Amino acid sequence: MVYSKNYKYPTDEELTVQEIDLSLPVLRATALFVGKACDDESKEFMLCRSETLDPRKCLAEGRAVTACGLRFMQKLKAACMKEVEAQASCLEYAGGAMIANRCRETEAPMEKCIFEATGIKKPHLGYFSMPRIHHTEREKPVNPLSTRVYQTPPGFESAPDEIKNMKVNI
Amino acid sequence: MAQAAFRQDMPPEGGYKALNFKRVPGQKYFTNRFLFTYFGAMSIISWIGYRAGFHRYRHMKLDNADRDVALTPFMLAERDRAYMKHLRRMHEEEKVVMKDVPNWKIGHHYNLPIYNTLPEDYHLDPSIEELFAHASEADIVWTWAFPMAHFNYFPRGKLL
Repeated sequence: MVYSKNYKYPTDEELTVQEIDLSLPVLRATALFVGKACDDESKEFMLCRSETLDPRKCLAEGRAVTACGLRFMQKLKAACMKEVEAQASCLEYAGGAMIANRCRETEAPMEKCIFEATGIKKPHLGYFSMPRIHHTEREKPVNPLSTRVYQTPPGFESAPDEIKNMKVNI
Repeated sequence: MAQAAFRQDMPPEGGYKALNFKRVPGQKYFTNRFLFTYFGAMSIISWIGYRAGFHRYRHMKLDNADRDVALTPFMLAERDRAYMKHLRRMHEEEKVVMKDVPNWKIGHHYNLPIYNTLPEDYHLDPSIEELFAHASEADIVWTWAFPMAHFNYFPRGKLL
């Protein structure tokens, strides 16, 4: 491994949270609603992830995303379990890509039930595919490579001024 | 042997039948105007059908992509956590495996750092061979057989 002993690994408490243990058909069936319910958290996490190369920097945002999804799923389990399961089992047999075109009959009652239980409407077609603008209060991360301090070579103080003031692109 | 009397072959009486070289054109089922309008109408109708199917297909793909995009943050959040757990496990495994090797420093090649100019606490994604260094040989061969299984569809951000 390339990481020396000064590399700070996140602790167990940071990495261990309750995960969303659901199968793909259920996730695909409720994807639009979960995505809409956790819109801000998702955007914050994806922005953070695209701003830095380091997975340790976005762990808190990732935990917020998972917690939000879990809360929404628990609400659905209490209120709309039957409808969601019907839609999920339909999707499971609708082909490998789980295209919702063949499951509109079961999707309509699920949509209605979710709206009554959580107040979240299904977003319009292409909502998640279009650019979504997000405002954040989080500071822009600094690239650690740009703050490196290099060793000065021995005898640099006695060098002529043209060498001292030379601009070097690194 | 009496020789038969010589007899010259002659054309039949009244002459040969006339050669039939008269042109017989094919029967015309459709007029030119009918064919022209029929082709035009079929082109227009099929273009309308093609357009409708094209839009239907595009909508289907868009709906599918919507669901993928909506689920992406949930998948990545879980995956990043599992990834960091794996890296720490590798780190602890290296401590145990290399403890008897003289002059070995963790995260170094013996006592040489792998990157000279990087900060100590800098994250770089290791290569696949390094990530699965403690896996069995059969599993590593398996990764070579299916290289796309480890293709990173969601790379982390760019260097600022």
